[in-house]
Amino acid sequence: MAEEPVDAETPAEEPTAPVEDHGSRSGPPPESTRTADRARPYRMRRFRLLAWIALVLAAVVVGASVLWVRASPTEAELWEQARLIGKDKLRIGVKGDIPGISYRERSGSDVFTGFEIDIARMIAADLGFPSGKVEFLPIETEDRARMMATDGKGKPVKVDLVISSFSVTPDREKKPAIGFSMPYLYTEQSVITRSGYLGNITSLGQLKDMKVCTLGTSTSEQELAKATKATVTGKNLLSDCVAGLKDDEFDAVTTDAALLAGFVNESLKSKETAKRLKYHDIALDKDEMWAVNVGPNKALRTLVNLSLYRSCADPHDQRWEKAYEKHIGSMFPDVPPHERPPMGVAQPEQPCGPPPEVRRWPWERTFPVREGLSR
Amino acid sequence: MKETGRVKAAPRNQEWLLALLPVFPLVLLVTRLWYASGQDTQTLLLLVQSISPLGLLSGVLLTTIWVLPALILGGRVLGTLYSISARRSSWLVRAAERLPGWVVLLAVVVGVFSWQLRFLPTLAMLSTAAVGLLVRDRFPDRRELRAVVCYGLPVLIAVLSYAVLWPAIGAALAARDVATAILLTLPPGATVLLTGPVPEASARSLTHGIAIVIAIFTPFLVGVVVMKAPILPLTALQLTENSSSRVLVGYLVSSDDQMSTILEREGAVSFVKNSAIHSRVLCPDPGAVPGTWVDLHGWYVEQSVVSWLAPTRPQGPVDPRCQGRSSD
Repeated sequence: MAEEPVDAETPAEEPTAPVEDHGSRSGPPPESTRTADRARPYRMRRFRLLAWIALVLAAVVVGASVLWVRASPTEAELWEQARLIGKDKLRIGVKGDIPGISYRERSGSDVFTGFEIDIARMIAADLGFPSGKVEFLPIETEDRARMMATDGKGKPVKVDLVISSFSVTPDREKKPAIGFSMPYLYTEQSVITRSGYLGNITSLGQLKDMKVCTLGTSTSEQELAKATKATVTGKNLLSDCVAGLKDDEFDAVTTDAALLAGFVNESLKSKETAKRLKYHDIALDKDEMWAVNVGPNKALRTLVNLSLYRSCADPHDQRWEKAYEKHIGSMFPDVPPHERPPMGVAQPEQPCGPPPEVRRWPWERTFPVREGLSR
Repeated sequence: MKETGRVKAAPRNQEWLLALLPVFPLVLLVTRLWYASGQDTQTLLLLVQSISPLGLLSGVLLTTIWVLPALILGGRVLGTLYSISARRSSWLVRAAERLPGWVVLLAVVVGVFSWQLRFLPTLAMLSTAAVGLLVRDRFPDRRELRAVVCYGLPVLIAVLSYAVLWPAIGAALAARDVATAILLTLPPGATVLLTGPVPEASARSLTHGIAIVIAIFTPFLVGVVVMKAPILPLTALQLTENSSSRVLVGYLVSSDDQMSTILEREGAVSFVKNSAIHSRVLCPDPGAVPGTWVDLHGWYVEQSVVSWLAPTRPQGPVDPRCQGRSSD
């Protein structure tokens, strides 16, 4: 390790002042040239030293950024973090009493159909759960935030996802137990009455002095409380409200248009005019944004967002569009177009948020659909 | 006897050190197995018994082959730099001078093929600097040659590099990827300043400091890379036992006509009767997804030439069995 002066092959340079060995050594140069020659190599050498120091610093910066700047997790890492690995079934809390959106067939075994059910199946497939590995459990409106559903024996069960027309609101977003995904449907609030109701209801103020039913702990209840002093009854199931409306217990039912439209659609199939319902489009410019509640599990939220983003960003992925067309777009088939809800009951385009922070293969620009699992 | 040159300055009978060279990969291999076995001696013994050392060694060499060009070129450049700056000899200078030219050339070729695109400007910088310093060292009187190799060549390479790399540099800046932007921008421009001596006073601390830091950190870096590299295939087995079905995800250690030995990801070892295996699937390696999308005409900066040219298998959907769920 010791330093050893080299004498034999050292070129003839000044021992004290290191010289840039670029000059010819034939004959002594004039004094002024020699001074300039000495100064220039020194400057050059110092400049090179600075370059070396800059490179070392750059190497430190690059090394530090590689070590400390964590790249986004991959989908597989998110599965691990979301505790989905080894999980046998994905439990999803759904409504179950809303025709067209989330309806549990009473006949035979528990079969759920509707727009939200198809969306739930799409998300579950992207999370790696084929149809047979998804368990739908009916969940009541008040239980959506705490994600507790009931199983077939009436026992409370914690669900992994709540896909139950849960609207995003600033107050709900602040609650630590609630974790909203990006929205999967935009709808608005509306009112239904019996078909015998004369006139049109265009604002919530018109519900004054009426007996109105809505879903308890819902955004509709809060809107109604703000807008009117009607006699408001909050129920846990919308089907109870609609049954009450048909039985003259209530005069009107108000909640999200997409929820009510299915009931109106069903009632129009009835031959008894008294049992038919009428849909009113009210002028309220507030969108209801339905989103999935994944609870505090952030990795799971990213995965759900990834599934929804895949569906909206990939033009080849038509799963959302098919679900919409099958369950919402095809409502009111026998109603003449001029009698249909004027603006539709929900926005026919899937809401699309920013791409979730997931590390993926560069050629997966639009996150291709997980073929074979979801279709 | 008078020493005739700095190369022959230290005949110190240190050849026995060469015998230690194979020890490092061996230690790495055993540490890797110990790490995989979750620090359990019995599991370690089982792995040692089942794993082919040659296969494992080639796996380790393949994952660490990119280190060799960095060490060889780095040593050569730093040694020659100190030699021409201070005109003194040291262990670094001796090491640099003992590296045959063909080894350095081979290291550059290995680097070209094994280094990621984002490190290729650094490789070009080191190679050009090595050539420039060599010319200064060997031909101190060839002024024209020095002008061409130490100034002309680096400037030409810098201009070419920027011309070729500008789409990737733009993409890195747009993606705010500082590390990639620095790696693509700085080395070509800095090359022209690395082909000559530095002030004598700082030469030793600069060159030897960098060399010592490299010598200290490289084993750790190699160790981390080897510890993270897979040594056994990750498989998922769907088992049917007592009419119930379960999925076992783990590394397949061995398989004979009776039993399959699986090292689970948590470190536990399972022996499974082959008759209980309903199906088996190979799970993808989740760690290979690149961290940045910056690319040069479709060549992603985290890909080496070889990986860019070689065909890739399209990523299919992950099998539910790899997530520990039965497929039916």
